[in-house]
Amino acid sequence: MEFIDVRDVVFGYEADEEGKENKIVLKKLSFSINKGEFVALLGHNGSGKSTLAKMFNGILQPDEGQVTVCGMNTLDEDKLLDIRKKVGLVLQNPDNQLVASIVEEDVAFGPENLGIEPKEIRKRVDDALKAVDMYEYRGHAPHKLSGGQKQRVAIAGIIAMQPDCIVLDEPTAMLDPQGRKEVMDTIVKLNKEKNITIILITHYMDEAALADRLVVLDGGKILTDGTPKEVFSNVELLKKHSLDVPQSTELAHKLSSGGFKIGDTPLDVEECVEAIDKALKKK
Amino acid sequence: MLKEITLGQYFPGKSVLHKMDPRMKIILLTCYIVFIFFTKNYISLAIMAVSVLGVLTLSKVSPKLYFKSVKAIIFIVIFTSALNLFYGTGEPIWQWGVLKITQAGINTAVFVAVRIIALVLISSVLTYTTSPTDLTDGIEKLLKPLTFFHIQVHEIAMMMTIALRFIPTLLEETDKIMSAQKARGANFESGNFMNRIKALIPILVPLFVSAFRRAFDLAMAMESRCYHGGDGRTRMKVLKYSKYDFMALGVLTVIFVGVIVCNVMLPVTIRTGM
Repeated sequence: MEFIDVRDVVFGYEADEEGKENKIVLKKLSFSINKGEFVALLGHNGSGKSTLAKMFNGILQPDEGQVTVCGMNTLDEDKLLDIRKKVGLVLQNPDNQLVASIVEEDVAFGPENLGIEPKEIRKRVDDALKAVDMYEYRGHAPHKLSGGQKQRVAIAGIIAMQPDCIVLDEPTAMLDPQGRKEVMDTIVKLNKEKNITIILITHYMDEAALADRLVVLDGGKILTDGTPKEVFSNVELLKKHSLDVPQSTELAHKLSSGGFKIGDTPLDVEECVEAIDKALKKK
Repeated sequence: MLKEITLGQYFPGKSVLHKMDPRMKIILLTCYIVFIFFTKNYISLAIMAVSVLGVLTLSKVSPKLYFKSVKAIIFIVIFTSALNLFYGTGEPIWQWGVLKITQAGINTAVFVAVRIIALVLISSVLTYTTSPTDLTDGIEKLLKPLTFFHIQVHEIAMMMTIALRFIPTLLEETDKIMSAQKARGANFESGNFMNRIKALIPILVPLFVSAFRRAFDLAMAMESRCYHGGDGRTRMKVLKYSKYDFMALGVLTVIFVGVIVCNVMLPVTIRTGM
């Protein structure tokens, strides 16, 4: 059985007082995610990707269709706590999701809500902070940390609840390049080492390229779904829907269309260099 | 400028007072405040004053900080003392027109000054030696019996925690908005009082909008982390009374008994409560 299953989901925000029509954000969306996968959800503003992120743990509920997590329907109020135990959500602004004024107490917030024994909470908090490399900051005040550090504390707060899946809604959008790298390294590590399913919502193509699978949304529908190589090889389609591809991919694509054939779809600089090198040697 | 402000200033340390349980500190502070108004003669007042000084030394917090907190209220102290000085009853010692100073007036003035200063100092000790989270935890535990009267103690404590968490964030934001408005030519420093008040509106409006946005986000984040009120919630740090708490309780009981004995045995210098 699929871990998370999204079936024919329709969702619209209510019309505002100016009498505009309801804005339908998701239009009969269906796809599913397996355990341990690292999925990146792509799409430009208004494609419904943030709305979808809030569906996975029942913060928002579909108007039509259904979302199930391990067979539990998010429409079922009694199951919401169990669903949220399995699926954690990390938001864009790290400042707005930290509750306590000391790092370790913030990380303890989730486990405390679950009613876990104090000793076990202590252990989970320490483990979670170590997993995101923030252990030495456990006694600090969150507002004195950098953006990347705050976001890693927020991730630790979710890990401490030992979820099977973490949904991250543009976690790096407000961070500087250094912070982005820290957070992305942490996410990849969690997926590879702890086998936590990751659903990453992003509009940075180089971040998306790190995923096992890309799901591209456009206008509330799925545009394409596949491995990064498959998706990014279709440069024309993405461009047509005003989406970018990683720079290396674009370079290779331009060279290919200019007559200098490059067989593979490179996703980062190293792959690109290798592919060009290979192509040069062939000549 | 705004970053200098910190509410509930806490100075980490390893003194005996830092190690005490916040609940005991709050209880003893309350008793202290009550007893300071129970003092009826100079001996009992002196006992209280000396014990305050003793507690200050125990806290191992720099005396400068205590001077600062007294400096903030020195005007109130002088004003109320002066007022009391001239309002005493009885034989005037010194008279000039309607102004007269009596022995009772001097007594009240001294009592009022010492009481207010002691009050401020002893309250500062609590905030200086107790972290905000410990303080809210202590308050939550102490007010627990009030849930019997359907008072949402857990919710109040959670609100305090969140407020303390967001004070620095919102201050930072206020600084940013002020800079942004200054860059657009706003003027906060000149003009009369009304103009300055009006100049605050372009700061408050964006600040409120962002505070509400933050609140929505926070609510979502808290829900995602399975927050569902105080029921069935455990805490990582469990408050526990230590030997220091019982020692403090013992010492202060002796002091309080001393004050009562002085009040009963010695002649009364001052009758009014304040």
